[in-house]
Formats: sequence, C-alpha cells, structure tokens
Amino acid sequence: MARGRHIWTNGFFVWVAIFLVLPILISASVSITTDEFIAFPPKGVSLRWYGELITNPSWRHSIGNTLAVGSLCAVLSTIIGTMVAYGVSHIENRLLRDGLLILFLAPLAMPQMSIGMAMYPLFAKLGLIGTRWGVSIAQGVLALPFVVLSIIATIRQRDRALERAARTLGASPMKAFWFVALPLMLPGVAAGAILAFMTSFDDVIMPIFLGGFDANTLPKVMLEALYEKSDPSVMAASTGFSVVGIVMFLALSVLVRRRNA
Amino acid sequence: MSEFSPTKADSKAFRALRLEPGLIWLMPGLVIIALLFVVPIVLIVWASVTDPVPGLGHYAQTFGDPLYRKVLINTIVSAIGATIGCLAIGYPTAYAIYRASGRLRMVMLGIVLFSYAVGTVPRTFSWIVVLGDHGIINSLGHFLSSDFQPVPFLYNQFGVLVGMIHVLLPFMTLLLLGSMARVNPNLEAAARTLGASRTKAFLTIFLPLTRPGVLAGAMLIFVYSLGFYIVPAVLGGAANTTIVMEIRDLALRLGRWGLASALSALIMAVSIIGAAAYVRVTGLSNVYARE
Repeated sequence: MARGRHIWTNGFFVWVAIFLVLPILISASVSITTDEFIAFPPKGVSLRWYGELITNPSWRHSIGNTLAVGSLCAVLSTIIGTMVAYGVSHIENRLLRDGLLILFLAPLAMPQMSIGMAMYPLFAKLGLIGTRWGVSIAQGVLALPFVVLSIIATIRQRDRALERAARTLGASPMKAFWFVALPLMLPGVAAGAILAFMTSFDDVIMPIFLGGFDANTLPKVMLEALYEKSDPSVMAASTGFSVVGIVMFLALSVLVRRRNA
Repeated sequence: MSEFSPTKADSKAFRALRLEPGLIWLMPGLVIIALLFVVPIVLIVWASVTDPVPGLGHYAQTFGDPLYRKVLINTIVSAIGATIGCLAIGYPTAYAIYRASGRLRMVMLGIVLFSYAVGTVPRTFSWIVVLGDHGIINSLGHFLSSDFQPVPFLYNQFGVLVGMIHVLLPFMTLLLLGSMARVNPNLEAAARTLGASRTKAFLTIFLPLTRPGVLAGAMLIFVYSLGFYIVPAVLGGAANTTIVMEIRDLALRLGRWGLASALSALIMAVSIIGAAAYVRVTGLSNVYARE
C-alpha cells in the first residue's frame, strides 16, 4: 500500500548510509599503504604503519595510557555510579529523586572543556596534573551519568519487592544489597562499565587539559601527530581505534539484549 | 529501642536519612559531584568576575572585542548549521527506519549503530582522506582532468559542518526514532481511511505528533555542538576557532584565566538552558525502567 513512499525514504537512506560508512572504510583502507603519505588509493598492501604503532615509543606509550586510563575510569565511575543508581532508586519522594538524578546527570549537559578547565586548579593543588589518575578521575566524572542511566534503567519495581522480602526474612541492608539487588542490577552495571570505558576512550579534552606530557592518550597523540607529521600511522591508529569501539559496542548490545530478554 | 527515643543525634539530617534510606548510598557520589563538579564550576563563575580584577570586564570584552565576537558567532553558526543539517537528514533517515520492518530494519539500524560505535576521533579523521587536498574527491578530479585545481573542502566552515553532521547524525537519528516510536500508528492509518492522502496524513498527523521529540532532539544536538572540540580542531581552519578552542588557548597557553572563565561561564549558561528545555520537553520518566 505505502510502497511508493518506501522507495523514496529507502532511497534516501542508501545515500545516508554511504555518507555514514564510506568515509570510515576509505580511511581504513589508507592505513595499509606502503607509501609515506596519506593518499587514496593506497599504494600496495602492508602492515607497516601498524608495526609503527607498536615500535614507535610515542604511539606505544599512548596506547598503554589509553587502556590504563580507560580501565581506571571505568572502575571508579562504575563503583560510584552503582551506589548512586541504587540510592536514587530507593528514594521515595519523587521531587527529591528527580532533583538528585538531574544533579548526577548534569555533567552530561556541560561542555567538557569547561569541566576540564574547572577541575584544573584543584588537580594542580593535588598534584594530579599529568598523571593517569588525574585524567581517569576527570573522565570518571564525565562517565558517571552514563553509568547511572544504564543501571537505573535495569532497576524494576519487582526487584524492590524481592529486596523487601529478603529484609523481612532477616537479611541486613548490606546483605540485601549484595545478594539480591546487585545481582539483579548486574547487566546494567556491566553495560555502564563499558560505556564508561568508551567515554574515556573517545575523550580528548581531559588529556589535553589535565594530561600534561606523561598522561598522553591515543586520541591526543593522534591529534598532535596530524599537525606534526601526518603519515599513515595516524590512519592505522584511527582504524585500530574504530575496531576497539565496535568490539565494545557489540559487547554492549549483547548485554542490553540479555537485560531486555 | 533507642532508635525511637529522641536523642541528640536525632537531628533533622538523621531523621531525613531514616525517612530516605537511599541517601546513605548517595553520599560518596554527592561528595564527588560536589568536590569535582559543582564547586569547581562555581569557582569558574567566580573567577570570571574577579580574576585578575573584580568587575564585568571579561564579559564586556567577550561581546565588545571583534576577535571574541567572531569566535562566538563562529560557534553559534556551526552549532545552528549542524543542528539544521542533522534534523534535515536525520528525520527522513529515522522515518525510513521507522517504516521498515524485519531484516531491512535490522540492517538499517546496524548501519547507524556501526557509525555510532566508531568513535568521534576516527570519524573526524576519516574526512581528511575524503575531502583533503590529496583526498579521494580531489584525486578523482585530478585523474579526470590534469589541470584540475584541488577544491579546498577542508579547513573552513564547510569542513567543520560536514564533520559535525557526520558525528552527530547517528545520535540525532536514534533520538528521532525514539520519538517516532511513541506515535500511535493507528492514527495515521485512520486518517488514510477517512480519505486523507498519504502526504496529507503524514503532514497533518505524523509530523505534528513528533514535534516535541524533534524540538528536544534539536536542543540536545545544539548544546552538544556548542561544546565540540575535535571536529573544528581537525577539520576547521584558523578562521574557524570556536569558543572551546579559545578557552583552551586562553587558559593553557596565554594564562588568561579570568577571560577563559567568562567564556566558560557563557557557554555553560547556554548549555544549562538547552538541557533544561530538553528535560522539560521529554521529562525524566523514560529514564527509569518500565514495568
């Protein structure tokens, strides 16, 4: 019946799909060139520029930093975020609950550059500038809203009933949390941890503002490399970066599907 | 039974804790948000009117000095352009997904989510290979005609817009799809049964019903675009400096903390207004789990 319009909208979608995906594939193809320059089509096929990522100390250092900072950010924001989500969902007064939720979601709405700048004086006093800890903590604040949202979406009314039943049967609040509430929240907690890692992974502002020279992460070094040498190793880094993002995203979608099942 | 007898510890705060046991779990989060987010931001706003001398001088300079006025205009033009572009492309895209079913719908969603999963940084960098002077489009032009002059797609407003739309489009499409999914499909069908043409049913029923979602999504994209750093930094030129790039330069390179604070305070104020409008339109109810 509505076939006529389907052709129009589907035809439009094909163009959008090309716009969204083709640049990513083209830039990935450039990373396998044997040439010294970023140019399409790539000349020859080699993993030379991927080798460069591992052998060049600046790239290697930044990859290690990115993984360390991302993991630390995920751990910190997941621990705090789990407590926040659990606490918020237990507040009976609706006004108080929504107000607190808005407070914890607020970092989402603020420009990250402003947050990084605001943290700078405090971090300088604490000696956190240029450290992995400093960047992880700052990114943890950026990631906290995602963790809280992800977990709150898994807490259902019937979970509260189960928890009350455990309390009635004599479990302490701590036990009710640990053995009843936490296992029920777990898919949301795991999804939150992945989202936190992805937030850290994709963020270039905190490393720029608070990272100094020692806590360089991959996106920051990519940005610097683009201004300095712009050889295909940037595109190799970019492609590796995309692959990690996609793997993370697939893991996330498996978790979300399990949660909704 | 001391729990029920009034003691010194039974202050208002303790009574609140007993009434709302959830508050205990919030303590670590509250301390962290206060210490690392709320207080630092208040201090920035304070610095914007006191550093180095008290007064509104920094704000006067922001609006009066042609240099900073240009930065403000650049930022707003890019943000409005990205918002309109995302809306114009995102709405038909979301509608195509909304109308599709079965495997086609899965493939369409997969394409949007794929580009979403590839981070902001690789997606921004990919346009260098496509639009750069030695990029695929200019190489193609050179291949077709040897006296072809490379078209400067990048390091100007055009490059910034293309990059921003590319990065934000998947997000916008998913937001719009969410608001379309809340429309009762029977309404459009009823209008068709009553004799409205397909176009008329779409324009008078479907489009108005998705308007709150459209407004909310546009607001969110606008706020996000204001704070964009990586896209203008990589795809823009010196003339396309945006407010967050200027904040970075002023604070880290030039040591003009007060002026950087004023720019930060301005962009934060606009972001808060945008976010408040978003919350007002969509509400918080879709945050909690549905029963």
